[in-house]
Amino acid sequence: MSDFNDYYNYLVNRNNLYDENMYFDNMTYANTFMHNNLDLYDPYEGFIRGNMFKNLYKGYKNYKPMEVKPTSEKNALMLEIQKHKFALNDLALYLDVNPNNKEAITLYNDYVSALNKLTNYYENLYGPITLDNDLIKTANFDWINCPWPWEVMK
Amino acid sequence: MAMGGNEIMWKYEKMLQYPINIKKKDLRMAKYLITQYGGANGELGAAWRYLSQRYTMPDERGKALLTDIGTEELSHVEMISAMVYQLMKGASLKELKEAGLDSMYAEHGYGIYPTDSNGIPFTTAYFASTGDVLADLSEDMAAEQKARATYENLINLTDDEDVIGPLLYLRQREIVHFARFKELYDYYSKKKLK
Repeated sequence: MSDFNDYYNYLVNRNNLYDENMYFDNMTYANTFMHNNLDLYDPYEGFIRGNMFKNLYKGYKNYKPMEVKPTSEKNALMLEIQKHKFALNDLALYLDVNPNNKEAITLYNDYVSALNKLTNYYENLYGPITLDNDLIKTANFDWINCPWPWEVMK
Repeated sequence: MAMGGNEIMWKYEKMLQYPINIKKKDLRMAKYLITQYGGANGELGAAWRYLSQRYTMPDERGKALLTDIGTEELSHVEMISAMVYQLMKGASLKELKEAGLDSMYAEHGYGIYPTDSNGIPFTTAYFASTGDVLADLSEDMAAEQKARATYENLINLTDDEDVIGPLLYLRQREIVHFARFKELYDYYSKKKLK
């Protein structure tokens, strides 16, 4: 899996996917996270805060947002999935109430496309995240095999 | 059975919304934290509050927002349950007794069950569904603030970073949800519905 090692090193060194597109070569993100009326964190910074929207963020006491540090290649890829899924979810809540914001829709679509690629990549390596997945082989029901999410990650 | 456009379905994803990796057993914290599963300001009540109220939202915005936040709350139920599970993992009976969890053990063993910090079981009486959009959204805004305050109390009760990280995250989600409910409330107020 030398492809993955390259990708993993890239994640560790850059901790984002936006400056270069080494692995996802066809991915075109909106160039900037600054929008006319949307001032957003990038997905990782939003994810560790629990909030994509800079104008809504309110910290507690002197606590800083906690860095999430992956301890394995598997964790690193899962973090990529989690942060994109988070960005999507937070944008979706915004769009529910502001359904005509074209910039938010464009960004939403970019994140969907990134998330789908990441999820396929993860599931091919580590097994299915959802049941309706053609990676699940009936002869060997992978669904039951991988660890359940409430267990401490090794 | 006729298939129309009315099928309802949730899809389980074998992942958490935010990672929970607690290495240190802490039974006192487990006892406090369980309230965000089954207590008055907990995630279970939040999920069913919004998922129950959404049917009488007056238009698509309200139906969408209550469905999506209600669904997100279900993923928070799983985060809280995972935290309690990890905090209690491997606890001996002696340790359970010392932490005051022996009465919980008598009822539930090591099972995860929705109660508040005092062991009072979850009840749907914790939330309302009035069929009135402004009444329901006012309750939703208050619920998010009460949950935020509870998360702050819980953060004050621990110094374990593995616990504080997820609690800060969940606290922040309450702030975002409050803001969205308020936007929706203001939108409906201006529209002078009914």
